Amino acid sequence: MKGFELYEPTTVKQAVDTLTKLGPKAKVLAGGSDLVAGVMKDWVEGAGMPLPSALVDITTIPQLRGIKVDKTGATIGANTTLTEVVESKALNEQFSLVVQAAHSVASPLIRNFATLGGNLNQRPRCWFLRGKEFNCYKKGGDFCFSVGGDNRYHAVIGGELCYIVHPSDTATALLALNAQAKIAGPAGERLVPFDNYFIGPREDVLRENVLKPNELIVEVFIPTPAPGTKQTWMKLKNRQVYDFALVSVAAAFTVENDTWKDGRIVLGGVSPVPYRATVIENQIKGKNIKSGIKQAAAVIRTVARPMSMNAYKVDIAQNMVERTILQALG
Amino acid sequence: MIVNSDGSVQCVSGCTEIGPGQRTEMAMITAEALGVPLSKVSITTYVDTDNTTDTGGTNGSRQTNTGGRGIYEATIDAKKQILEYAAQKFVDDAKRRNQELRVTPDQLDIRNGDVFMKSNPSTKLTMEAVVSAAGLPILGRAIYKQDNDWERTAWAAHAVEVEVDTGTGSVQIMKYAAAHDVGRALNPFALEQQIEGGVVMALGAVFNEQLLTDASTGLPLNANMLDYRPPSILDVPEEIDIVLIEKPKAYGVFGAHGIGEPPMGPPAPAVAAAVYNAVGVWMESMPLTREKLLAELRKVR
Repeated sequence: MKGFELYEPTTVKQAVDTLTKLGPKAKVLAGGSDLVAGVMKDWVEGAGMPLPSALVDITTIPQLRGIKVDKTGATIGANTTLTEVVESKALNEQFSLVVQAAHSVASPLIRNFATLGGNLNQRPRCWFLRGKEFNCYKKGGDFCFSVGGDNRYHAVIGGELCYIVHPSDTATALLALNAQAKIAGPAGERLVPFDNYFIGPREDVLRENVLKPNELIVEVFIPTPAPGTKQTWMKLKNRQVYDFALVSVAAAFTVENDTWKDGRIVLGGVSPVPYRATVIENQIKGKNIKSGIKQAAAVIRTVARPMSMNAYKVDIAQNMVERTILQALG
Repeated sequence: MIVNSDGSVQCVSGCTEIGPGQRTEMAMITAEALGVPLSKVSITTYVDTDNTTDTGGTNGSRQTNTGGRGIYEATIDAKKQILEYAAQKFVDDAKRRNQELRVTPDQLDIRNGDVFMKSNPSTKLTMEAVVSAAGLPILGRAIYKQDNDWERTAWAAHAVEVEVDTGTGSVQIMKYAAAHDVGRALNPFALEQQIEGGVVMALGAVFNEQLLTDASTGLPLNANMLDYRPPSILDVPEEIDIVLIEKPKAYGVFGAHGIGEPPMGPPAPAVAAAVYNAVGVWMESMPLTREKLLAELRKVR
């Protein structure tokens, strides 16, 4: 592994100042399960993705860790581990979607040190991106190897230039819960709803979110869902421990007289960003869920653009949306 | 192998341990063939053919019947010497008591570390006493050459119950049973583990494992444990029943038959047949991935 300088700030301001001073050669470090044990260990680098020569460890900032729940919603510090999310009684009661999503990540060992912020901001798993011999768009190269190559796990919706799928399970759940991120930077703090937090390859192929090099996510706020909101998570993987979503579905919605009142359906594993399936939501809105969801789920086909080897993911996504909604109804 | 004057036994074996307990088995074969408790037997702590025997590799389901056969025959050689010394000691001890006694080795045997008269088992000598009387440790030697017409047919039957999810292409193993003719189970616990491990390893190959390469560059795509996906503990069926069938083989040590590779063969056809029985499609290549299964299902449903 390439050597690096380690900084251990104790306040958010110190962290931001250090990042600003060091510039893009520095990266924020939390659990390190992707940045250190993945990207840096495997020498995943390119002109647009240089390996960091400095790491700013934010786990030394105590205020970034912890879960607070009040009547407006839940606030989760970015350094809170996924195990802490899974074991939080307060989150289990009202925000079970994010708990289930966190619980489906990797393995207990990883969840014990991987943080919520890190899970949201980890780099994608595309095997061309991770293979150091493939100088692809996302690394600053001028080619996407998935277009003519083995793309069985790549994007079926919203791919363009680059066909990664967003790797984060918690991101999928948080978008379905209409959560927002609090971001700290040199100009202070700003709130960004997850609706606007993730960016696709068309906007900037070199990154997956709005964070600038001298910014960091400090906490996540999830507004308290409306009373009676149904929440369900479903994740399909090829191996039951330590695997990313082939397709995942996060649903949070309210029901009135068996009809869909309001809510969100978000898919993971299908698109470069967590994909909010508004096409399906619009189709089911105001309709009887049990009789209408099959037809509504099929609308996914109108937005899907599968590649040579991944059309099966569209079938699976359609099927899983239908199942997730019916499972939520109980 | 060596029998020391304190009655302890050392196996000198170049047998390589690859997990399923081959070296424990070498010690067990020695203890059984000599007639001493396993606790009296140790095995060389290292494998180095400068100082240990050359048993050939632990592969081809053969170590029990190559390294194991060698140590068995060396033990029989040592036992023969010990019985001769013991017969002499019985005679000498009697002479010291002014008694006359005629004892030949074939009238003696060894059990639980004692050399005893077959006609009167309470008349016995400890191993320590016999080897001490011999004056030096006993060295048992043998050379076993694998026969040229080496042919060993493995007999097995596997049964599997699956649940196929036609929406996602997931195949869940509900129940698995593996019956193997093992000749003779020398270490039944380790043997069951080895068969279970073989089934799990095979299921990884059946459903997931495949080294993928990029067609345009020839570079590997999944040369890591994350993307190659060997099975995790949660992918192992909850119920794997192992049935040991013991029909001793003339060629085997105590009748044992090799079991390393045999459990790897049947799982693929067993699973494919179960999937056919469940949903009516024959999957003819491994791995049986969900994308292949869904494609086949589209043709018939």
